[in-house]
Amino acid sequence: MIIPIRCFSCGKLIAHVYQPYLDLLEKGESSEIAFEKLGIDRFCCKRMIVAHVDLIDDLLKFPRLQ
Amino acid sequence: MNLEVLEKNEQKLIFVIEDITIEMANAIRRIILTEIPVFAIEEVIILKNDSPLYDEIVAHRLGMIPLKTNLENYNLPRDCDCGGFGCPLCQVSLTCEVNNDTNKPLVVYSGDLNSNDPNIVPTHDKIPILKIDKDSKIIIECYAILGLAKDHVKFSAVSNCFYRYYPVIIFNEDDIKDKEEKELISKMCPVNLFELVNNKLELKEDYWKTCTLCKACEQNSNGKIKVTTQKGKYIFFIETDGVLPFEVLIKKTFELFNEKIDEFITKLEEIEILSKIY
Ligand code: SF4
Ligand SMILES: [Zn+2]
Ligand SMILES: [Zn+2]
Repeated sequence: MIIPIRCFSCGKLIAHVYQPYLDLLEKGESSEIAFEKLGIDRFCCKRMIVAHVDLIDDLLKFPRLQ
Repeated sequence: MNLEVLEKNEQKLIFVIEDITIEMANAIRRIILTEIPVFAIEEVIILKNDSPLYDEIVAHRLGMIPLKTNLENYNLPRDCDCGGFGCPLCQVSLTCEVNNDTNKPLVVYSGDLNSNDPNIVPTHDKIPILKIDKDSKIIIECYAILGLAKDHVKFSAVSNCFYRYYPVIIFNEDDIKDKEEKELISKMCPVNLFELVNNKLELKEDYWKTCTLCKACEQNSNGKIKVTTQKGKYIFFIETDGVLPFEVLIKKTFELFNEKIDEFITKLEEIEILSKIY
């Protein structure tokens, strides 16, 4: 849906690096170097970002049922 | 006690501590992990939410946002004179009102939260909370209180805190004669601490910084290399989200530690000895 605020396993704040991570990949950086630059060093936090599917843009198209 | 800081920056603190018992090191670790009071959003009033996320999800996401904490001016709600009801001494209110008048979807960031205390603000401004479509609106009112991480992880002052043994590797180069064995050892170390220089096996000088104590070198040399640890010496790692500066964190830890010991002693003195156990 939308990137979780913290890592499920260790509790590190990860939501704020999701967009910078995508921007770095766009520039042609490898994920390893991107993670190094963004200060993510545990694999539990890496999988939060790598495995995330941002579905919220698709859901925005539908009106909310009130 | 001897303390040497290896690395310190905004996020991480690494230090070596000497002449300390493991019980003491563990007490420090556990207090840092669970007992430091920290601000987090506890109550959320959602007046309008046009985003595709349910109110519960929005409230949960708001709660997870780490807030910069000032411990001096605030009380834990249960120690406060108001009895936990909520007063300016134990509560901070944050409000968020965003109206999307562009014609694109808009992300609402943690920076859009307006706090009534400029010291208690989200540690990062760019944490996405939710997304709203055009002509949509969001009005949220939140109340943050101090809390302990043993009640909920959102109140954790650190994102990681651990220590490990100080590794000591004992080996005699002359014992290992076989060239193949040397190659095998240098290959098996997962962090490449053994180097083959002129057919001689050499251990890197600062191996203790990265050695994982996996004992792969010991197993592959049939015990000619010995991996041991130094007693009373530990390498401490603390990693934070920017909630509290390290100085405040460590000071508070020892304050709490002393409080606990004092409480234990007074409780012990109160107890009447009813019967003697031989
Ligand atoms: S214990 Fe493991 S990490 Fe340490 S030197 Fe031996 S093989 Fe390398
Ligand atoms: Zn993690
Ligand atoms: Zn109060």
